[in-house]
Amino acid sequence: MSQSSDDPRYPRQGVPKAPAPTQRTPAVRPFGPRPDRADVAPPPPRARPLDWDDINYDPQTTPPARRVHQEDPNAGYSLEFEPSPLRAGRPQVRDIEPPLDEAPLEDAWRQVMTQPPAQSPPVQSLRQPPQEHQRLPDRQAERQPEPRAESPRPPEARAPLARPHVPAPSLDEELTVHDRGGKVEKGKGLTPIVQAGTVTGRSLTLVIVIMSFLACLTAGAVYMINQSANAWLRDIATEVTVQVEARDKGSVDRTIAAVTQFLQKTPGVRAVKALSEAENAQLLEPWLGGGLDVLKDLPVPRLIAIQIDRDNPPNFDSLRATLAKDFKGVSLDDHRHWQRQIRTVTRSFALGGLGILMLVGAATTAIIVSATRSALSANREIVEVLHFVGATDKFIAREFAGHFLSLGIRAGIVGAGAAMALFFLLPFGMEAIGGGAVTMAELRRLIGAGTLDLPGYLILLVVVFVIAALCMLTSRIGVYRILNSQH
Amino acid sequence: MIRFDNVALRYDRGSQVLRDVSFEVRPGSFYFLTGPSGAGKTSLLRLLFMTNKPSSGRLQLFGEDITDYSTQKRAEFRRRIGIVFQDFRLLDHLTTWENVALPLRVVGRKMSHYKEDVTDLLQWVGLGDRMHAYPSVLSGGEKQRAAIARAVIGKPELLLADEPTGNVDPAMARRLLRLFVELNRLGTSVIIATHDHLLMEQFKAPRLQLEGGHVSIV
Repeated sequence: MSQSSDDPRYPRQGVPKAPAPTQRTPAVRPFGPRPDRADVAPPPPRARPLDWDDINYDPQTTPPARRVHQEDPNAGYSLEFEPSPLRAGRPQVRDIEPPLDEAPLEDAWRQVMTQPPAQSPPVQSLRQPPQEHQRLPDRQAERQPEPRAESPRPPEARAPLARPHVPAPSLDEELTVHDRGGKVEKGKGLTPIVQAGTVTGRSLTLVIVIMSFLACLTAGAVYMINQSANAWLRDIATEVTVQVEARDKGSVDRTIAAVTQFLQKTPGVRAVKALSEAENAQLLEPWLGGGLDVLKDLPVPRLIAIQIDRDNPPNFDSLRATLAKDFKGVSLDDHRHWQRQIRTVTRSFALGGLGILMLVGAATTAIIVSATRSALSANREIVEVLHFVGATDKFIAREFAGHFLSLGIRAGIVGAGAAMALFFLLPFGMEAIGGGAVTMAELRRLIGAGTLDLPGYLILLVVVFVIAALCMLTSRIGVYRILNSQH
Repeated sequence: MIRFDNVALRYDRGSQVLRDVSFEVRPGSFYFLTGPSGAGKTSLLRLLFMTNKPSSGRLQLFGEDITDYSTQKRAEFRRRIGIVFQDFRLLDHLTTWENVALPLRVVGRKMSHYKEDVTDLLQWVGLGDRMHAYPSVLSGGEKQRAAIARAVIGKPELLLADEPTGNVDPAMARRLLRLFVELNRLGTSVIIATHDHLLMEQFKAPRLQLEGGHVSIV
């Protein structure tokens, strides 16, 4: 079944044609005369027997590679040199049935092995190869005329060629080409090179969830207090108070009436309201208890609340001087002192929150650095193999950082979700704990409604992204540093 | 392609493994690297594969000096070299197909571009029906063939094999040798480190004989 002997491209020179075999040869043959050829005419005389020297590639002694295939398969010698798809197109000595799609496989491999390596610069030899090397295939030259087909190749590229049936290589079963299961399942993704389980365990996930929860809680609390403080400042800024010293009741009432009349005529003042004794008592009730009887014996100043026009406010310094000069025992409180105090408190809270966030960030960073070190240690063999196959440190760092990013997002979302739930349930919790209406009112005055608005929840989402980015960047830098220290 | 000029190698404060090694390997050649156990075969391969740097001397690969190199440069060179380890170094959690595709994956090629190439190569090495199997269920010969397929999928210009037949029977060793010869016919330079005389007798290629830290070409 030799095709080579009939191939006009490779005429057999000096080897007489042997009679056609009468029996099919087995797939595997030992060296030496073929036992199944005992009844066949003896082989023609040869200059020397063919052995492994004939396929020696030593530059000094190697004959042309094609010579191997010019050997007569009936000559009584078998090279047992499996013709492979790499040698497609050459005359081949074959004696077993081919695999079903052997022909397209040859084509495929001719394309695979003749395409230049991706991104590899041409080889710069130290010196010109000797003449013997000229017969070796010039890889660069061979690659040019046969450009690689676009992948995925069209179906016709793998269709059987319209040419005489070429038997399969004479290999034993183990190297026989199989086509079963030869396709990668469509839609099936590649397995991650670094397994997630070896990088991010449950304990690490739990720690990052807690860190995320604490960070979200801190950020939410600071935001909530800041919002309440702003509301206080807005209220305070739109109202000033005039205090009238407590003297005998008649003179106080007269003074209040005069001051009220004066203020109503002052530019920048929208409304003036003198608080009655009952309203005064209501303000002091949380500290002094209820009832007017308590206030009767105390020199409690009377108050006049002034709503000011925020767009055109009066000159407070001038107004204060006028009131002090024209009305005895009357003073103006423009709430600047309170505004300063509120701002100070708000800033303190913000700084405290920032400090807590930094601590949480530092702790998260330290945990991720430690986890990265452990992950690299657990995947040392994989990292080694990746280096051996040409992976850069950047690629390896990206593989690990991907897992940490995923961890950061998952854990961050869980932690932020828990914090959101807490903020959402906080008002109900405060009510459930109890403390009375007054306590609730004071708490509301202190921290507002006790829940977050939409921007507040968005801030928690930002915290999630920050945690995820921190995990990814820390692990990436950590992998870089560890790999660098190992080189 | 490869040039050693008075190269020596010493591991930290240990004894000198290679001394004054000088030789040259031309493109497209086939060499056996042989010598007794502990002679430094693996160390010489490690120098070629840029796992170690020479203690002294000058080492050139692909016409460039690699006595000192950056990690980026090393990765670029390694993409032009295929290496077959005695212990295979296959990743157990990846299938045979994924293991073979690994060199193409790390250079950022899309799976759709190399899917059929990997499949064809696995079929060629006789692992067509084992490509979805994990290395843990492969036989020694199958693992070795998968390792060889991984080494050659990137069409390397230089193939280094460290005792590639150390874990297989003689028949399989002979078949693996044929794979290497086939690759060499396509222009890939091949260096096989082995002390298997039976293997070397089957294919008359020049031998780099390592003894006492020195190399001689036999």
